[in-house]
Amino acid sequence: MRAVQQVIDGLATGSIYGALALALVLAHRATGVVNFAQGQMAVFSTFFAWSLVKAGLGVIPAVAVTVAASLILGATVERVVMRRFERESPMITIVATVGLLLLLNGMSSLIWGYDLKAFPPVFSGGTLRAGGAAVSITALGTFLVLVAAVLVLYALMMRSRLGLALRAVADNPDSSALSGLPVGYLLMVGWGLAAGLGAIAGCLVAPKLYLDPNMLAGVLVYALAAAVLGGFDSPLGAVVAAWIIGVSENLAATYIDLIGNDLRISVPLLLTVLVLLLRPQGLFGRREVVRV
Amino acid sequence: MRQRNRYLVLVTVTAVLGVALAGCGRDEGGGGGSQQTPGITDTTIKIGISVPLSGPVSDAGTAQLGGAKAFYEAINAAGGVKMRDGKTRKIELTSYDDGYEPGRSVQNFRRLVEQDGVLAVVGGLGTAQNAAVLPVAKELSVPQAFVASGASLFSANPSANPWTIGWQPTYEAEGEALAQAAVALNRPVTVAVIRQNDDLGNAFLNGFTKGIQGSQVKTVGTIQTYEAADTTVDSQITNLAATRAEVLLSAVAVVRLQISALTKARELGWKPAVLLPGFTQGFSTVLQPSGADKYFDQIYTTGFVKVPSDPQWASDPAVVEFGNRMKQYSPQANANLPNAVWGYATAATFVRALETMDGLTRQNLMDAVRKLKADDIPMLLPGVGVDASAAGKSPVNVTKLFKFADGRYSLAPES
Amino acid sequence: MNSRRRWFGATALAAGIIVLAMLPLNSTPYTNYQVALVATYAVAILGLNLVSGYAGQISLGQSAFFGLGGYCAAIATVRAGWPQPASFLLACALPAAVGLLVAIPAVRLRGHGLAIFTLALPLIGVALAKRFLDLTGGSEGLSARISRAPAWSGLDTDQWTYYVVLAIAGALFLLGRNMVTGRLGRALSTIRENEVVAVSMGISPQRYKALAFAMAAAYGGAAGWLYVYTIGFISPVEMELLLSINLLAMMIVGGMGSVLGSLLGGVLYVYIPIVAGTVDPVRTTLLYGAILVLVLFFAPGGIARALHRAGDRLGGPRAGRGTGPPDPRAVAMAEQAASPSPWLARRVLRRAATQPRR
Repeated sequence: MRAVQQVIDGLATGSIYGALALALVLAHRATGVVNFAQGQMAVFSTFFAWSLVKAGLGVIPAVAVTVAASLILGATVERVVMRRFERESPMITIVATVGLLLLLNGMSSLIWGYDLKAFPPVFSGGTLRAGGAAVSITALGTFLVLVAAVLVLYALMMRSRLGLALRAVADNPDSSALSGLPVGYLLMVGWGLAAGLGAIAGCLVAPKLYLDPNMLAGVLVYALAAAVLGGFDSPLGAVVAAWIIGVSENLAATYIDLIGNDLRISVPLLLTVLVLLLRPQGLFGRREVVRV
Repeated sequence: MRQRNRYLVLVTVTAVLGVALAGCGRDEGGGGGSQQTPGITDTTIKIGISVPLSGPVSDAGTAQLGGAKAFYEAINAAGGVKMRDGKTRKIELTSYDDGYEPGRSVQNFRRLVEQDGVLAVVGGLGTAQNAAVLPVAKELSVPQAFVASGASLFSANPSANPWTIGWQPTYEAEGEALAQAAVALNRPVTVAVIRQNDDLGNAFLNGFTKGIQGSQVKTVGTIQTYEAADTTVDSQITNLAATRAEVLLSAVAVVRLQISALTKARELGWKPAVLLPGFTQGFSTVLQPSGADKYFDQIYTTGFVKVPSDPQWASDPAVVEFGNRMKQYSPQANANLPNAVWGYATAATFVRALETMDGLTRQNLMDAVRKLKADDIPMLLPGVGVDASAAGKSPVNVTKLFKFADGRYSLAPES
Repeated sequence: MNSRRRWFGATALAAGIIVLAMLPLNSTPYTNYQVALVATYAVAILGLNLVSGYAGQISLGQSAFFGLGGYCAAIATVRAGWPQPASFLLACALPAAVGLLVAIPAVRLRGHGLAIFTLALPLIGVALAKRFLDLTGGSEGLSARISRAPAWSGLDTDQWTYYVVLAIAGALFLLGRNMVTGRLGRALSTIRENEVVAVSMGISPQRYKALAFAMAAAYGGAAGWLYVYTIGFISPVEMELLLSINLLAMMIVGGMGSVLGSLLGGVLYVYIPIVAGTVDPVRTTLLYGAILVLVLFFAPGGIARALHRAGDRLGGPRAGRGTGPPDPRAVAMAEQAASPSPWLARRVLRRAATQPRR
């Protein structure tokens, strides 16, 4: 049935948005920054993985090495670039990350060029068909990895000391410093983890989207919307919001003629705004209390 | 005291500035050539090009420029262009980046004409970008030759736009040519359509619709559209598959989305005859990655140039020469993009116009361009030539229908 | 009053006006149009500064108003035959009305939600521009050469365009400057610093934010009109999100919350790509990104802020211009600067150095 297939497609596309949204949320949770360059960092990492595969490494080892390298990349970028903009107004930080985006985009095209590159899938094996609907193994794999990532992140942020320290630093860096937490080091860890997550996201979606410097450019807007809709606090929120966005845009484009395909992007954006007007903390966020 | 001294300085500075500026005259055009023959000296011909070298479509722009550069440099290396006045001149190409913004295209055009003093601006990329330039070319009486866009507006009205001409077959013509594949079946046929949501997609569909008029071919379902920046077209293909149409017109101009479309159709178990536009039909770039080569029984496409990656041209001398020249002169450009071939063939067409111009003025050049007829432009398919005298049509106005079989494209029997 | 600074400022201004007035008579049309473009984008960035720089409300929607103003100019003149002053008023009024409409949800959103909402505007705008292609020309764009030098002026079209654009931009800048140094600017700054304090002072944040949005939109629309006046063409490209992001970036690099910064932003927007292009056009993205990051690294408050500071050092401090409410953050920062944590102290001092001033 067409509607069922649209929902499945929506969940698959939503998983792509969610993968990037998760990295965005993690970076924000750890350092309070909305990193517009998250997608570009993920693409850069994916190119690195591609080079490793080209050099003869298997996909899984290549991804593993890439994730490790991305942890270092993220930490370095935080220390060298982002630390400078810490307490600046959010707009300055955002523009700094935009600069980073352009820098990484330029470097990617310099090193690897613009032509589309095929990336070997971690999950391969064709299509599952059931009752008139079809889903590819790759999409299913991405979906499951996403769920696993959410669980791992939840365990990390809520149940571990590192997570507690990261949250404290993002929440109130001054008090954390006064309490003796190594704030600088923790910020680096936060960005490193986000970059590692982004690398996984990039490697998961590259087989479908095909790798080039602009692979995640269109996805970024959706990932931002998903993160905001979810509350920018909660990994689960970001992913669930991403799925909602994927499904709703498909259904709206298919069944609402006024919207059609050309206005499909308005659906997630306006949905997000509507939710925020009614519930400022997003679907899964915590209510923020500001002391005057 | 000090107050008065300061105001004295203020007055002096402004007076000096005013006099200095009033002294400079209004500079009209620099560069080579004289007032009568701008852009041409005894030894050089200066031309300009404005393409997107940065931003999302920079690969296409770089390829377009790379192809043109490869041809011009090769000509220069062989001595230059032999013109009718007996002199052989080398071509100097000045290129500017417009980031695919029409405002910048206009300013680049002015810069090329006023500051660089070029003879003509050749082979610019982009429909809106060149549509913005068109009135300026007319205002300045400078040739805007061989625009790299399939929009019909560039060649359609020579009397209204005497200084502008397109080059490649229009999107309408391509759509109309593809329609023949369906019409040739000579029975009622249903077609599902996905097209890009802009003038390219519109024109393509219009051409297709024109081509099936009066036949038993009908489009079914809602015409699906997509944006060039979309992540996938899965949702659109799902909708089209639900129509169970026999033919899919996949007018998708973006390679990654064409792969997405064909992959999705395959995953859904839908097996229509597939009609692909010329820019997204490549065997190694689209058919293999999507598994379309092994899955679909009937794949048709159109073409007017030799696709360098197609094995049937592997030993074709023009294609080999193209590949070598691209490697030598434009190594950073992607020779597999259609834009590289268009840039190269456009340059060849322009050089032919230079060779046949009587005189050295811009008007002489446009006269030569409008009369141009050539069968031997490199990289054009056999049987496809340049005929700029066909009023209202683009100079290259033949497009051939191809069918994919046994791992390669060959001329379709239905054409 | 510091007379040395005033004298310097007066000389610079006089020299600047003379140069600007004489320039078009001595330069190519290309140069004249380039300067007109700088003025155009400076107006757009000034509008953005009102809502984002002064009021602190992030807006990624300025390009939607820019494009809307441009389409007003083109459609009103070409399709409906309106005279230019009428199309200019439309190009300011229609975006302002949309801006007010948009402000209704916008003033209730904060930070990320606001960013997403304003981001939706260009995306929806482009889609609509392509949808109503009978009116707008669709993705092929619409040609609208509305600038025409009257016979009595004896000027060429490009010179006339230059004077008209610069005159209008100048007037808008003057108006803007008066707004931000007056009550509106102080109210917006208070709202930006601490909304609760603003409320306690009797300033309605919702009202002023909505006003800021409307003004930003009006300025954006005016800039769009100036763009069509200069280039003679409009297409959905002028509404794209990328333009919004670039305008925001140039606003920040030029100087957030600064009139001079807006002007600098316009210069940078037009000339960074050209400068990057002379180095290596293919590496433009890389260079542009590097420039952004480097300038922000060394001068996060923007170039205008850095110039003011340099001016302070050369010409002595400026006299205070009215006192705003005591800044609670400044008080808190002073306390924190005395804290034992070196990391904290370093950051507090850095923050103090980039504290926005008028």
